[in-house]
Amino acid sequence: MIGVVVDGVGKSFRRPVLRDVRFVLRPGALTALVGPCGSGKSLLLRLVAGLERADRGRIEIDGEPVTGADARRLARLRSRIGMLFQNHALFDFMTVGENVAFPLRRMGWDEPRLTARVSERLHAVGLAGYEPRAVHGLSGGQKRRVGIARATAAEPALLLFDEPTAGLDPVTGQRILEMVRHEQRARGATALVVSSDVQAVAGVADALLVLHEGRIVYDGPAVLAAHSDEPIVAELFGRSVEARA
Amino acid sequence: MSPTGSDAPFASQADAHGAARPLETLGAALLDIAIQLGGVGLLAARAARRLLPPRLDALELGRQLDRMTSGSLAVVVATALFTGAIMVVQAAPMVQRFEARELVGWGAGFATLREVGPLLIALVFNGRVGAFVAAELGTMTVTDQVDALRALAIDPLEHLVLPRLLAMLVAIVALTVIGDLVAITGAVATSWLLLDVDPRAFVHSMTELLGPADFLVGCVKSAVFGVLIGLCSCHFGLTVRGGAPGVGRAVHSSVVASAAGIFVLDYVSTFVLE
Repeated sequence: MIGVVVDGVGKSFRRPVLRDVRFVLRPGALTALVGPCGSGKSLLLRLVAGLERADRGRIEIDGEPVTGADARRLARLRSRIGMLFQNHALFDFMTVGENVAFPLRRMGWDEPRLTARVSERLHAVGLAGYEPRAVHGLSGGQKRRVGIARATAAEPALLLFDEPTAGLDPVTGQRILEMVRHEQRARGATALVVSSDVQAVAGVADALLVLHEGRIVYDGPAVLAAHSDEPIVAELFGRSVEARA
Repeated sequence: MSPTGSDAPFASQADAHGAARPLETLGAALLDIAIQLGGVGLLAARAARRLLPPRLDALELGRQLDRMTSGSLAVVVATALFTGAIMVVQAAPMVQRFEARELVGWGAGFATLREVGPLLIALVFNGRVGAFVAAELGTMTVTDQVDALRALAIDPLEHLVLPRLLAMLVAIVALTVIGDLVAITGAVATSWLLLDVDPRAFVHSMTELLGPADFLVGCVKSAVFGVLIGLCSCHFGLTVRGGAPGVGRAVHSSVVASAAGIFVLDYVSTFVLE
């Protein structure tokens, strides 16, 4: 199990998006990161994965710095991360099976072990036998499942999921979240899930982070978040709280 | 109202602004060219560093090589055949006027091997393969597939850029050699039909007056063009911003930049290789 430390992180694109973000991801827990649209949730996830560089602050994964790491160190860190992108990011020139097998093949897995692993992963996400299918023929929910299978194929210690329910109907979205929760629990991984579906993701998460105006305004147990007096948190949970004087 | 009236200051401000606009536009264009040239240069340096020792995806290299050569062969053959024929048709009046039939083989061979073959095939290759690579990488960029590679600890340079660059280099030289042969065949056939030049006399004139250097110059030129097209298409593809419209802009920029670069490099290499 690995922990993640984000300390005083800031990032600007002409205007500041993240100002002073601080939080610690508890090892082996599923933490949900929520906030209004455009608050920088996905950007924060990309910073943790080392896909963007922070302007200031410090990010560490299991004690190893992500900020300022060179390409080789980043590659080593990323080999312990499984990431699901908002728009699937499946390789459309590969079949479903090749997509799931891709990280394993690059890691040098032998063919029988690799085939068994791909089959097991696709079975776990409810797509058994989908190996030869083309990616472009899948529905949004199926693509999301293939993305989860690929992200978890190499048994990463840190799972980063960007909007796993975006564009899905509530029933499929809930199934995907339950699948995310199951995968995280099954391997004892640390998980950070970005979602705009606050109520649904809070239902499966251990901890909740609320990002607003470039800062974390709530960092605590997910079950208590719905009762927070912080106006933006209350608003996200559909309650109205009078602004504190 | 007179120029000294109350609106005169606004008019002079507008004039000044209007006069400054072409300069602003020129400055912005020059700055953009410098940025893109810098980006292409950086990509070239990073790719060169990765080649020592070579670290690239061999499977992807084979896939790209197959796609680039077999996919472009028909259009290269058609272009080369008619180019060879057109050269003879254009030269025919002068050849007849000066009774220079024995020089047709040399003229067509010289122009094809050194200049027209590499140049035209590079332009065709740029329009077909360069545009495709820019669109492919651009689409992968805007759909996060490039970031997905990075997230899977795979360097896009090794997996995407190097295989395409090397495949383009090999493919364009191979296509140029094929194109040269086809263009000369077209020239032989046309000079026989139009000028009654015996094919054996055509080949004799070509082999007597041309040497291996003429063939090699064309190959070196086409290799340089191939690297240029590869660098431009990969650079513009990987730096796409702005979704699907951005991909369109990247393809356009890649094709235009490569085409302009091909002519500049052709000019420079003609001097250097003479």
